[in-house]
Amino acid sequence: MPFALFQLPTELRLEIFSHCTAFNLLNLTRTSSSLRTEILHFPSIYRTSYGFNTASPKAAQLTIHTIDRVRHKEEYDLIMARTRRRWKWIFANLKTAEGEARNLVQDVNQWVCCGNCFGIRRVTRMFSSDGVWDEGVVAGDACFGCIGYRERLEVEGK
Amino acid sequence: MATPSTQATVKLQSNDNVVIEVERAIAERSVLIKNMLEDCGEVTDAIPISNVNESILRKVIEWCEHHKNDPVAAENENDDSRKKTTDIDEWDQKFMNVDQEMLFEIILAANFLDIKPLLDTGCKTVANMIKGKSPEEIRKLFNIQNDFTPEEEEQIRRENEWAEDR
Repeated sequence: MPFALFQLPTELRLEIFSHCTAFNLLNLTRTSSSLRTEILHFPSIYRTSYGFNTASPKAAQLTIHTIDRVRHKEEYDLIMARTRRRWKWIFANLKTAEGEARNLVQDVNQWVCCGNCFGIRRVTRMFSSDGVWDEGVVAGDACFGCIGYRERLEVEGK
Repeated sequence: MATPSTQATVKLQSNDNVVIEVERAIAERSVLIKNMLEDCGEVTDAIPISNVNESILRKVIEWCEHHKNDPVAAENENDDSRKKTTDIDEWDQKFMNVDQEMLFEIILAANFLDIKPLLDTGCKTVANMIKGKSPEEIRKLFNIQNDFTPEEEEQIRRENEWAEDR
């Protein structure tokens, strides 16, 4: 089958991209050199996309660092599927970890997606302040902000 | 400008020379045809739709027929408000449930005929096909060739470290 997407004129592909979230655009830039060049050549496309963090110091680029949320459950699932095995490795090593695993959880490049607000968070934002994994919370379940929100609702009896 | 016409139907001719007669109100969902009719007044000959074949033209007419009573969007409607959601109503979802080739043909026809809501629906459908798919899955979906240079591959690998397996 011919590559139908590239049979469209550029302006129509850009129109399609304008309906994509920042995370989906990021995945598109990883499919081929042509699409990567095209998307990155029009920063307004990703800078106005859902989930792109224009306040980020790196806001000129489209990377995981400049995406602060996803919109769809499918995107959340993809992020968690990609990082789950890594999480298992962290947990398997966390109790005894003095070095590598401990460093890994504090790794600024380690990201997860909050299952509640779909926010993309650094792994350290999913842990309690002393760096210990909260009991009963699973990877990707909820970020600090959402846990706090849930607790407030419980206290208020809502 | 010509005197406004009261004709009830117009004829549209596809690029494979098939003439289809439709209600004027339905044809006027296309801004291109609407402007043409306003400029020309009474049109008895078939209007050539040079970029669209019969099957796609019939499909577009089907969409226009279903949406003929929809309110026409204001010209200065904020573009961002259209793009905030990729929700598509149930009828349109079924309408767009066609093979990829036809989907892209519909998008091209909607663009040529200047039917903005149909163009939006088509583009949202493609965006929805992409959502939550990995780069490998997107390549497979659209038959995209991976043409990255080794340097680009390396850069992407570095950017993608956060999602790599240990």
